[in-house]
Parts: sequence; C-alpha cells; structure tokens
Amino acid sequence: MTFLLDVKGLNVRFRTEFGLVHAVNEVSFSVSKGETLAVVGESGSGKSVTALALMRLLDRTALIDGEASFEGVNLFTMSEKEMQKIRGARIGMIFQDPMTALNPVFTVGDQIAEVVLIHRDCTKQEAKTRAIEMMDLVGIPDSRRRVDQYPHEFSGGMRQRAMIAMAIANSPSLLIADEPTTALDVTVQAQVMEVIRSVQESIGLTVMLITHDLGLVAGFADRIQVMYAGQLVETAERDRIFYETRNPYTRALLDSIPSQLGVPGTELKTIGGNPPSLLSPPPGCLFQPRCVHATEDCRMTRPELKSVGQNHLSRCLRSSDLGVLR
Amino acid sequence: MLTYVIRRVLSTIPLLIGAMYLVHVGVSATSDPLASLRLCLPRCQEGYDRVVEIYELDRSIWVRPFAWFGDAIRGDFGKSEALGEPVGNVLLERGLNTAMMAIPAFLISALLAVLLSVYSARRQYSKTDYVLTGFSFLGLALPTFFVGLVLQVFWGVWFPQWTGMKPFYTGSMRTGSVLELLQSITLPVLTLVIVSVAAESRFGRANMLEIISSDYVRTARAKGLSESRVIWKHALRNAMIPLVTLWALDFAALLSGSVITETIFSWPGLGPAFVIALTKPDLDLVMGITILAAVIAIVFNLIADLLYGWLDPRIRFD
Amino acid sequence: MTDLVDVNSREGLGAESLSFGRLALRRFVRHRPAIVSLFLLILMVLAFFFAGRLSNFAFDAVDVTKRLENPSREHPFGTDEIGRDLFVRTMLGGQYSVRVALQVSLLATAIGTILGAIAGYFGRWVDTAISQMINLILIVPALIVLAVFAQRFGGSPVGLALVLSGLLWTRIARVVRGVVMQYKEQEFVLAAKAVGAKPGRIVARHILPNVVGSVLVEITLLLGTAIVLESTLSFLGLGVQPPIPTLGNLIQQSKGAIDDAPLRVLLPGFFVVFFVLFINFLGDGLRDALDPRSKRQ
Repeated sequence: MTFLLDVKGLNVRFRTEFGLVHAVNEVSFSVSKGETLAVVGESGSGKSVTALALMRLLDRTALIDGEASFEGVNLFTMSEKEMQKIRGARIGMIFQDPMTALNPVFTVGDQIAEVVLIHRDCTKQEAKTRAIEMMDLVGIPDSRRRVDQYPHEFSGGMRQRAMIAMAIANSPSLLIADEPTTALDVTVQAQVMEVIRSVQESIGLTVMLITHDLGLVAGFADRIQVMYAGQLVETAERDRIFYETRNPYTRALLDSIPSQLGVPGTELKTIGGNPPSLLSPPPGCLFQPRCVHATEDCRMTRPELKSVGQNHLSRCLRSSDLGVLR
Repeated sequence: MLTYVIRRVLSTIPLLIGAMYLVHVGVSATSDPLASLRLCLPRCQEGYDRVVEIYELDRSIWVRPFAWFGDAIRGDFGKSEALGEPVGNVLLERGLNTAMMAIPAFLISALLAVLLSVYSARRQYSKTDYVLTGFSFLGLALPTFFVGLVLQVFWGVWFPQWTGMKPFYTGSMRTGSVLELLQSITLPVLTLVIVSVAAESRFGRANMLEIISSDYVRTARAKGLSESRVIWKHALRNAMIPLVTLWALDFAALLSGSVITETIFSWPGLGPAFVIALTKPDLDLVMGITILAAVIAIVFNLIADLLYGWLDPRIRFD
Repeated sequence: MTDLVDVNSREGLGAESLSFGRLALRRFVRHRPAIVSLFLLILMVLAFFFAGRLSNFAFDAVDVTKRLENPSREHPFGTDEIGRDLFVRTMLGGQYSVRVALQVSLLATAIGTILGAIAGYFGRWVDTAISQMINLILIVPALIVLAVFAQRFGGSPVGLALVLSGLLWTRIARVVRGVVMQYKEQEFVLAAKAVGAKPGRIVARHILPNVVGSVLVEITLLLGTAIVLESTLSFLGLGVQPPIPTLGNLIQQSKGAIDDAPLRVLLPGFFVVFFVLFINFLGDGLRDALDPRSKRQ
C-alpha cells in the first residue's frame, strides 16, 4: 500500500532563551489516501507543532529534521517557492480559532477567491464563482450575498465553514484540521464536523484531524494516534484505541472524557500532575510521574514504541504484563 | 456617512468656541498694548485713544472676545499690528509657505516609516533591525531645535561647500528658481523628517510585529501566498489602521506651522509669525493662527476617522 | 507554539514563586540598558548639582577681558560673550532644567491621577466635564497656552513648571481614568462598596494600587517630555528668562555665534538629548518590569 503522507523520524526543536525545547521527538506515521487520522493529546503534546511543521509554517526559531514524503516529494527539502505551490493547493489547513484566522479587512469571498486565483490560471470572476460554489458546499446559506461580507459579519461556526471552504477550494488531497472545533459552541462543533465529513465524501479528501477531544474523534476517525510530551505513545485503529487500550496515558485520557450518560454521583476523572519540561526531559518514561502503573524501572528506562497487535503500537515498558487496560 | 461628518463637525464647535474664548481672554489678560503709550501721556492722547478703541480696552476682558467672534463670522479676522497686514492675508501667504515644507516632509516621513517598519519587522533581531531600532530610540530623544541646529552646524559651518544647501536664512530668495527653492527647503524638511520618522517607524514596527504573528497572517501563508503578498497585502493593510491616526495628527501639526523648525531656519511660514504674534503680543494674529490650527486639527482628525473606517470594515458610521 | 509556551510558563512558576515586587525588581535589574541609564542619569544629575562648586567662578561673574574663550583648564566649556564661565553656567542650567522637569512630572502626575480617578469613578457628568476639559487642552495649540502664561509666570522656573504641569496632566488622567473604569465594576470593589466603604477609600485602597505601575512609567517619561519642552520654550525665548540659566536659554544665547563656535551651541543640547535618551531607556525597563504582559520591542 502506498501512503499519501509518510512521515519518518520527525524532530522539531525550538531555540529559546532558556535552551533548546524538544517539542516533537522522533515521530513517524503515515496516512493512506481517503482515511481520517486523528492526532490526540493535551496541549503541549506536540500535535499542533507536528501539523505546522508539515506545512512549514513554524517561525525561524524552529529546527525541523526528518522526512515527510507527500505525493512522492519530500516536504522538508523542497524550496520555499515549491512549498508555496503545495500549501493551499495540495494541502489545505484550517485552524483553531475562526474568530482570528480570517483577515478582518477583506471580504470572506475575496479571501476564498484569492487562494483559487493564485494557484489556478483563472479570472477574478471565475475565482469568485468558485468561492460561491465552495460556500454552498460547506453550507453557508445565501452565499451570493454573503460572499461580499466581511468576517465580522459571520458567526463563529460560519467563519469556520468559510475557513474550510478556503482550505478545500483547490480540491487538495490532504486537509489538516488543527483543533477545528475547540473555539466553537458545543452545538456548532457537531455541525462543523459534519461539514468536514460531507466534504471529505464529496471530494475524496484525506483528513488529518488534530484535537485534544477524544469524544469528538470517536465518531469520526479511522485511525487514532495519541501523543504525549512530543512523542507518539499509542497508535491503532479507532476501535482498538477505545476498546483494547494498551497505553496507560491513553487510558487516563479516555477516563477523563465526561460520561455522555452523566451518571449522577460519578466523579469527573482528571490526570494529576503536569507534563514534563521539554527543555530537559527526565530519563525514563515521560509519563511515569503521572502514571498509576509506574514501577522503579519506568523511572530509569525510556520505553520504545512497540507493536502490541495488528497495526497497533504502544510506548510502555509494561505493555505485555498489563495487557488491555480498562 | 454625511450625517456622521456633519454631526462630528457640529459637536466640535462648542469646544472650538470655548478654546478661542479662553485664548482671547488669556492673551488680553497677560498683555498690555498701552504700556508704551502710557509713558508718553498726555502728549500722545490721540494714539492712546485709538488703541483703546481698536482693542475695546474700556470694556471688560470677559466680553471683548465677542466682538472678535462677530467679525470672524463675517470673515474678518482683523489686522496684524506686528506685520501691518490683514490677518487673512498673513494666514494665506504664510500658510502656503508652511505647506511647501509640510507636504514633502509628511510624504517622505510616511513613506520611510512604512518601509522601515516593514523591514524591521520582517528581519526582527537582525543587525539592521537593531541599528534601526537604536536610531529610532535616539531620534525620539532629539528635540526638534537640536536636530535643526546640528544640521545647521553640519552644512553651515563644517561643510558649507556641500551641495549649496542653505542652512540659515532659507526664506530670503534671490532668484526664486526651483533649484533655489529645493536648496532652501531641504534642511528644514530633513529636520521635520528626522523627528517624525523616529516616532512613526517605532510605532509602525511594533504594530507590524504584532500583526505578523497573528492568526490571519498564518492563514495567508497556509494558503500558499508568497511572502511579499502576505506582507504587502494582508499584513500592511492591517498595520496601516492605527498608523493613520498618528499620520493625521502629525500632518495637522506640520500644516499649522512647525514653530521651531521654521524659526531656526528663518522660513517665513506660520510658525515664526506665531512666535512674533505671541511675543508682541499681537492679539488678532494669535487668534487667527489659533483658529486656523484648530480647524486643521479638527479636519484632520475627521479625515483620520473616515480613513480608519475605510481601512477597517468593522467600523461603521451611523 | 501556544502549546509550548503553556508548558514553559507553568514550569517557570512551579520552580519558585516570588512576590510581584520582587519579580518586578528582578526583571528591572535584568534590563541592562535601563540599569546603565539609571546609573548615568544619577551621575548626570549629581554633576548638575555639585560639579559647579568645583569651579572658582560664579555663574554670573562677568569678565569682559575673557570673552568667547575656547575651552581651557580654567574654563572647561569656554566662556560666553561677556566672559562668564560656561561650565558653571551649563551645570547650573542643567540643575534648573532638571528641577523644572521634576516639579512638572510630580505635579502633573498628582493632578492627572486625582482628576482621572474622579472622572473614572464617578462617571456621568463629572466624567463628561473632566473629559471635555482634557479635549479643550488638547485642541488649543500647547504653545499658545505656554506662551500666554509664560509671559505672566514663565520668567521664573517655578512658574514655568506650573504652566507645563497644567498642560501635561491630561495623558496620565486618561490612563488612570481608563484603569479606574475597568476596575470599579470588579467583584472586590463591589464587595467593598457593599460593606459601605466610602468612595475615597475605595479608590485609594482598592483601585489606585492597580495603576501604580503605569503611573510610574508615565512619571518617568514625563520627565523627558518636560525637559524637552522646557528647553524648547527657553530656546524660543518664551521660557525661563536670563539671568537664570537653563539648558534651553543657554543655547538661545549662544545661537548667534553658531558659525564661530558651533560646539558652544550644541553642548547644552547634548545634555538634553542624553537626559531624554536615558529617561526613555529607564521608562522602557520599568514598563517591562512592571507590566510583564507588554511585549518588549
């Protein structure tokens, strides 16, 4: 099987005044055409940094190495000019906060049309027509009128739809959605996810969904990849992550989802403690200080990512003796 | 929008009247046009009576401004005793001279401020950025008169042969050719540019830096736009919004006469006239220049607000 | 990136928790330009106040046999047209300029803080009245007010300081007014109101401590503004009148001989420039130290 995106040994470090911060460490993964991969983790886990590194949108303090082959080319070695032809054309990206992600001084239509105009050989009028089509596709009502409105005249959910329209206007093969619903109301979240799903079906999009919300992922992802402190800790098909959890961190994350049933009297579980400093990571397992299953060995030995089943990898020294975690 | 403009103008009128009233009372209270005449009484009784009549000195200083308002509404701003000309003529002639310096100074400094702030923000923490930031810091500490004096010393005393620029009496022209005009206004304009560019570019850079790290600029990059399009289209339009207000204030100040620069370089603009009017004091001339400056300030504030609304669609006038 | 910053700040806070004052002090000490500037500023002010005593000449001792002399051992800055020692005069001029600036920044801050707090706290017509007063002061070209009043009081340094303060309080008033308006609706203030505290006490005890930081920065920057205005006015002949020297009127007096002795004209100006430069660095350092949210530029 060939992959649409194949990332090998991705490292991202930031130069700061305190020293190098290891934001992403030796992350390797791949995404096949048409699937939906969800990358899950707390803030600081390196999931957003991974996405921005793939788009080469990090600032100059970031040091990136590794390999990211996308449609047969390495994203990290191409020139900035070539990369510009990929962004917005072959890979679309949407961001967390639709309130600030759109430029306040241009109309929504102009902003969608612009991405068409610079990647395609077409007239302004054609680009605008395409913008209206896209707005229809993502379910923005009354698109002919709203195409000339400014972002502040749109609600949060409508702005995020406009962002999606912008990201897919050139029919890219990959859509990176970085926390697309975090800043939205709960009722709007479901609508926006529905838009992404329907767009995915209609144009055969591959989606990389970055989120901290496992509940959101449950109905949406084909495969889930859990990150912690810049490392991949578990990856498997969705159902295996939910029902055959092998990594204690994933388990803790699952346990902290508020129960949909809302059984009165049950306490909301949280993960105690904080993630380790990425400036000088301690030896041993990075999750060990917060882990209920930690042993003396976990403090000394850094675990490797190991196969624990079909297409199922987990980073835990006690994978075999703990078995499936419930 | 027209109603907005009208309402704005109307709302400033009471303020303007109050200000003019206070200036009139203030100048009247601190000056005595009869000081020299009183010494020669009774010999010059006639002149004494004339001055009393012109300035209505027999009436209370609290009611004197009303006569001025009455004349001003009819377009009569009185006569300047110091310059021997109607105030209206003085304002027109000197206003044009001032504009001759103010307009190039404003255009050059605005352009420089944009270029410098874009450059500094794009190359943040580069050596050039440090040097430029250092210069703007120094520029902020320079009083205008000091800049003018340094330029005079440089061109007038140390290197007088360079380029034939006039360092001292720029107002006295022999031929009136374009070249002579340029030689005359270059140093004063340079003074004004140095002083305003420092503040504008520092402000512009801070703005630009904030905008460059904003989410919508990241979106623009994620769309695959070239860096120059990201900066000059998406970032600059936003960075201009707060700059417009600063520019309007600066330009208004320049147009109402840069007192210090024009005085140092003896340029016959509104600035030196103002100093003359104040030191005499020449009440009608003070009032004339004040009202001109106030009107310019009000108009440019309004222009700034309108431009603001045009640049930023979130602002609506109603 | 935002994810990353979270982790760092949390780590930083966990390591040691200091009081706000100690943290501010530490940030200020780390701001090297501000520390160096503070040191040089103190040195400069000390020189203004004491260096003149090292000389054998009085500031107004005329010696027509030694007119317009170049700098020498005896007269480090040379002499003026009527043979007065320029070193002593410049130091004394600096002293008067600094005094005026200090008086202005303290007085303007006091007026601005009080009026700003009143406007912000009571709102309604009180606020309208004070805000219109501020607008009035902004609409009249500052130079007019200065000149008109300088004519009457400006001959003396104290008079000039009063006039300048009357103009420069508006900025602080607006800052304080904004902060007071922001805080007066917050719970701890409402709580104080609920238990019957008087307005004066609420403002002084619960609200004003929040503006100390920004006011301190403003005071510093006002020092710079005041010294520039003082020297500019005196340069135009509208400020402090001779025989009292200030940095501004020293320049004005020697300006006529600019082509003979250019440095004599520029020298007092250099003191103004460096004073303001150091003040601005100091203000920057204070701002960074007291308001950690504001980004360094």
